Amino acid sequence: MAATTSIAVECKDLSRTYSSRNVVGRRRDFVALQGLNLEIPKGAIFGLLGPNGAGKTTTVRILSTLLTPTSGTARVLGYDVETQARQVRRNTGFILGGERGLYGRITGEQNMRFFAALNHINPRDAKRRTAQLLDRVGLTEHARTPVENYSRGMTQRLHIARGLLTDPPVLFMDEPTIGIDPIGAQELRNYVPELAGEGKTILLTTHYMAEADMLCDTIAIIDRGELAAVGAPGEIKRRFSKLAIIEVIVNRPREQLEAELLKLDAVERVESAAEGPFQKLTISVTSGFDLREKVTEVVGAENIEDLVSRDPTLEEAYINILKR
Amino acid sequence: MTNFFVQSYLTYRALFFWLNWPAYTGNVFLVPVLYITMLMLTGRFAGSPLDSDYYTKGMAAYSTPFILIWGITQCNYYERVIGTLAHVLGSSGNRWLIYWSRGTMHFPNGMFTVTSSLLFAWVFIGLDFSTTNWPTLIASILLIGFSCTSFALCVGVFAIVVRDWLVISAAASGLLILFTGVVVPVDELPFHLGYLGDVLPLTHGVAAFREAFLGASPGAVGSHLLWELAVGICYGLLGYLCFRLVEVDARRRGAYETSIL
Repeated sequence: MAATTSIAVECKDLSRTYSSRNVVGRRRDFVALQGLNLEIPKGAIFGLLGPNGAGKTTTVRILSTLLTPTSGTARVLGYDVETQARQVRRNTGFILGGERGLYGRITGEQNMRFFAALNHINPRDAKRRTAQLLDRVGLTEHARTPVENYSRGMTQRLHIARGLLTDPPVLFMDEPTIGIDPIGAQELRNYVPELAGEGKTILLTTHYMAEADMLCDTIAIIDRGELAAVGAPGEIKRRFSKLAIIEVIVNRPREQLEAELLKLDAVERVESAAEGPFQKLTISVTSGFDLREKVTEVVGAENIEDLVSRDPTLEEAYINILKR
Repeated sequence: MTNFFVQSYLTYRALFFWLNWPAYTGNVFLVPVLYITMLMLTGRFAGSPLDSDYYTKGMAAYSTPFILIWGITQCNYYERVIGTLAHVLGSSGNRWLIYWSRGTMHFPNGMFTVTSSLLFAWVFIGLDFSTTNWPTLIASILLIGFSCTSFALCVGVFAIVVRDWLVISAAASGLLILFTGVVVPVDELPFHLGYLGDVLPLTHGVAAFREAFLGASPGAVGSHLLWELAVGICYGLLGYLCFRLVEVDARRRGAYETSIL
């Protein structure tokens, strides 16, 4: 029976090992997930990050019932992915990146009608919902074009429309912006907060740190099948980045500034670049030190056009986590 | 039921790669005609008009499983290769309907091809229909269509597993041409291989089909027709069981989009 908690997705000690045999029958095991524990609250946008082979796609495949775990349990809206797969499928949609997974020889509209029929949506509702969703993802004009003639971005938008056909409360998005041009990727990203605004829980896997930083409430970083860090993006950046950044715009450029700033304690690196008539200094400071006053002293308050300190990027934190 | 037909029609449009004029006319109409002509000429060359007539009828009946097997296995194969299989099996769709929907639209192809083959044999080879019992002929054709659709769906599951439809189709159609009495009478097969024909589709259907030309009533060939129906039902159930086992195994091994075996 489904639990009525506020947790949408829950993984407990989730492990998955892939086995294969070579030509002489010798067995080889590859551990994709080992003891993963996750909890995703209802309505959250949860980012799952990690290098290739970390176990992100395996997690999504287990949660969408395409794969059974070797051990541990996974529940979606309280339904066990192994023993209550049908209920899980009824409540989830999955959107995979890439050009596979759609029928290229038939039109976008026909693809939608097919998957609607597959999911027991009655024909009248299927027609209405197909029109609505194609309109939502901007494909109405191309509804009757065979999918094999779609661009990568259009294919991806059709993937999203297909994932929303059953109006599922939980969505799994596996690298939805992979291989898409920046404008197309931005358009796709816009759907994520929109869908979360409708109350959907979204599990998003991505390699793009800026995407995860921008979209997700919570991020989990997994490495070699294990959870390496979890928290809000800001929290992860502060906790795991060894460096903080101070950026200074100097209105009277001086060559020596770089060397002078490097003499300060806790300054790790200084980069100088021309920015129009100004000089831009990017100062990397050991995390935990506030050097704004000292930097102002060295540069001279009257020479400073602007001074900002910012959190390190998620990418910096991510690299530090994986290098531990 | 509407959703079942929507699925049947759209998977046929999406996955049957012979659905273009050259491939369709070539495989549904031309190939069976060439087979018939080749064997008819072989019979005549061997100096046996009776054999020639036997081959003509056998090959006309065989045109149905030919198009069904090659058509259905390729659809199953492409379902996996283009990556839609994961979405189909990751859906809450009814597996029984998914399974049968892959064969529904191929059944008419089987009917077209046997009709055109018979028409060709009548016009160009002089196949004699004067004593034909039409209800028996139609019943045998329909039952061959049903049993061979079931058989094709069953072997089609293995095209998903091995990711190859050519080998599977060639092996399955080879079995039928050898052991079902299409070319060699079943009771003349060596080493009791004739018994193999009893568990294959087409064997009893083609026997009834031949009897129909001699004027046998449906009642007279009832046992053949019932046997063909039973074989079709058995392959239907066996294929569905295999389909479910493949699904379970794929989930267990993580092999929806990679190699299963």
